[in-house]
Amino acid sequence: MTLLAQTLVLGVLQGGLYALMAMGLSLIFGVLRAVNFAHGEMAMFGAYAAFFAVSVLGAPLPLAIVAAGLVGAVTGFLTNRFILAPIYRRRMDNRDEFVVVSTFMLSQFLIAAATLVFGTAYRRVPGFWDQNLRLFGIIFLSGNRLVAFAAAMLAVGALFYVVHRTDVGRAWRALTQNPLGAASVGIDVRRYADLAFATAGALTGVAAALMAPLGVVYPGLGVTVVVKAFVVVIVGGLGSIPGALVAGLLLGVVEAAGSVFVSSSYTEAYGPMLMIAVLLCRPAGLFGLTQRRV
Amino acid sequence: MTIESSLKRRLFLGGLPVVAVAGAASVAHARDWTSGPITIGLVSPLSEPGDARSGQAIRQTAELWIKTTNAAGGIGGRTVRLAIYDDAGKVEVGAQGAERAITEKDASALLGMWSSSVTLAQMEVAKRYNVPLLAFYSWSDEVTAKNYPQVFRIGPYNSKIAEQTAEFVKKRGYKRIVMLAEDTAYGLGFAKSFEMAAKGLPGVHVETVQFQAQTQDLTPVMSRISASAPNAVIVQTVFAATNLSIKQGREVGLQADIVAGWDWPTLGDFWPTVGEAGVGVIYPTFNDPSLTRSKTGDAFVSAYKASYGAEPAIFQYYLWDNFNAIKAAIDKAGTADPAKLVETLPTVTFEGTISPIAFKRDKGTVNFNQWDEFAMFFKQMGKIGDGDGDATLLFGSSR
Repeated sequence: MTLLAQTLVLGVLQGGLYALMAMGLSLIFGVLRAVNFAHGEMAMFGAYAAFFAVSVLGAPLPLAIVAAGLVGAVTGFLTNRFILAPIYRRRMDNRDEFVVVSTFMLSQFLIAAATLVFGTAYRRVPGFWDQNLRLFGIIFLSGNRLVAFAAAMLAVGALFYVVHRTDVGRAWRALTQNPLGAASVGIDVRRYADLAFATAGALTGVAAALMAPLGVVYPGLGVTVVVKAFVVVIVGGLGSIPGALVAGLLLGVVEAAGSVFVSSSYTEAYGPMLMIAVLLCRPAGLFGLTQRRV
Repeated sequence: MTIESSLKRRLFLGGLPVVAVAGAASVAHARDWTSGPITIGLVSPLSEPGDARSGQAIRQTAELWIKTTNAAGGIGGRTVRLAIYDDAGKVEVGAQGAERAITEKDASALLGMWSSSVTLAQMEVAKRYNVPLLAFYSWSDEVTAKNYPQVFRIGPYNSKIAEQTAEFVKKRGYKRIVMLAEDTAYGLGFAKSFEMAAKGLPGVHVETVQFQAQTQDLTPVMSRISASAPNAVIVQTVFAATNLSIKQGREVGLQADIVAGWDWPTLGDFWPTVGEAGVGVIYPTFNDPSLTRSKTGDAFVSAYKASYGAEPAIFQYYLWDNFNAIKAAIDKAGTADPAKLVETLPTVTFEGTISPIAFKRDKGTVNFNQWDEFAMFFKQMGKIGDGDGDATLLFGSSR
């Protein structure tokens, strides 16, 4: 019973971070129908930004997280402006394939560049609450895990507010529903696409900075991140923000429970297995809608 | 264009690759191995998802050896150069790198192999082209147990390390041990060897817990291990899980001794990433102040410190010895012809960094083309920031 409680708590806390990590990917897919394989590298740069802000500039942790968000936002903005926008402008037939290939190549380039520039050593970012806790006498976890989860939920809440209560969010939703219709009523598609990428990068950078005290920072960090994020987005339903939240929590719990009660040999396989199971029952994901492309 | 001319053209174009291959083969045969620069292939994990951290140390050691050797006049007056390939920790990329080093750069030997899984694939390439391959920290028994004439190892291997680890377990009085092993030839190979070795220890129960090498959140599996209340957890991995297993194990309340599978706690990123959780960690090493270095070893350490400002890890000693083995073989054979080196290497003896080196040739065993005169020690980190020299010696075996 003790182990079950510990597993569920760890799974939920980790799942919250998965959800935040996937929010950006979901937002980009919703607005642009673009699959961004360089999403994990936004996380990697965000984590390095937090590390250098603390260790080189001596910045306090809140500023380091802001720095991570800013670096993530700039990475996202540049990705859209210089890699994807030229593809969209050409109005080519196989646009989606070019997006996949170009973002995948960008991902490989950024990992190689980070290896050259930052080196191969593992780095660590200090956390807000670097203490191992024992809750109710049975649950052991780091204080950083609680802080990261709370901050992740705040960030998800903020994104939810922006999407549903602001003009920017209305524009994004319009683009999600019908890009052509949105453009014809005067929504500046390019501007809102830039904004979506920058927001996605910022969220991912912040998520990586929150996760960094729980793990290590290194050039290949984003590879695992992007796989988890894709699982979350597909399970939750492409483009659905509430779906990403639920799917993130679900993935965290399934991975933790699978590792403890089934086998730790398949930790990285539980996500794809969950994805297949959900898609068999609901091909559009838990919260996705079957849509006609316009 | 007539059908006849079209056929002729197709025949001509179709024949081109054959001519090209035949030409390349004749060029390869025409290679003069007794003069000109000597090329050594270095195929190592220089980028993710490979263990790029160790790959960087391998590359530094190799480049230093080349620089030092060429400054001293090369090998028999011939300049030595490296053909460097990144295996990225992937079997197929490593095999391709080995093949390219041989076919594109005329490498006389292959060095720098790291992950056992990759080395095992590269061995097949070395065997096919009859080029010597020297391993140093690929611990899988299979590397030399396959008895390929082309494959040599100056460095430790799983079954002998497992035997000595079992002796250490006996001395410490551990009764319940969890072996946390990554799902690679190295991790699972060691777990199997240790289970065998521990069978000789009465009352000792060993449970092997396998995990995926790239896993970054180990808290669930460490929670499960913690709940089973072992006396010791031995961690066999080379990736991010090295430091994460310790940090996350303590996070979830693991009380047991943590024994690192190799001497990664001596690497520079251990304390910055693990912090307080690293205090008390035990690790095996093949290095200790009581271990005397040879003149060659002293010269290597001095040159390394002067170039990189830090002490080399013990695996870098073995790599240095690998290079010197190739040098000794070329000196003796009077040629850099890979086939001649395969024949000559088993007969060379030379001064290694720690002791004289010669290869054992026990057919049908792991001790084939294997140097195994290594001593093994277990040390414990006592406080944050401790280095190898500060750690407390808990156990030492003689060579």
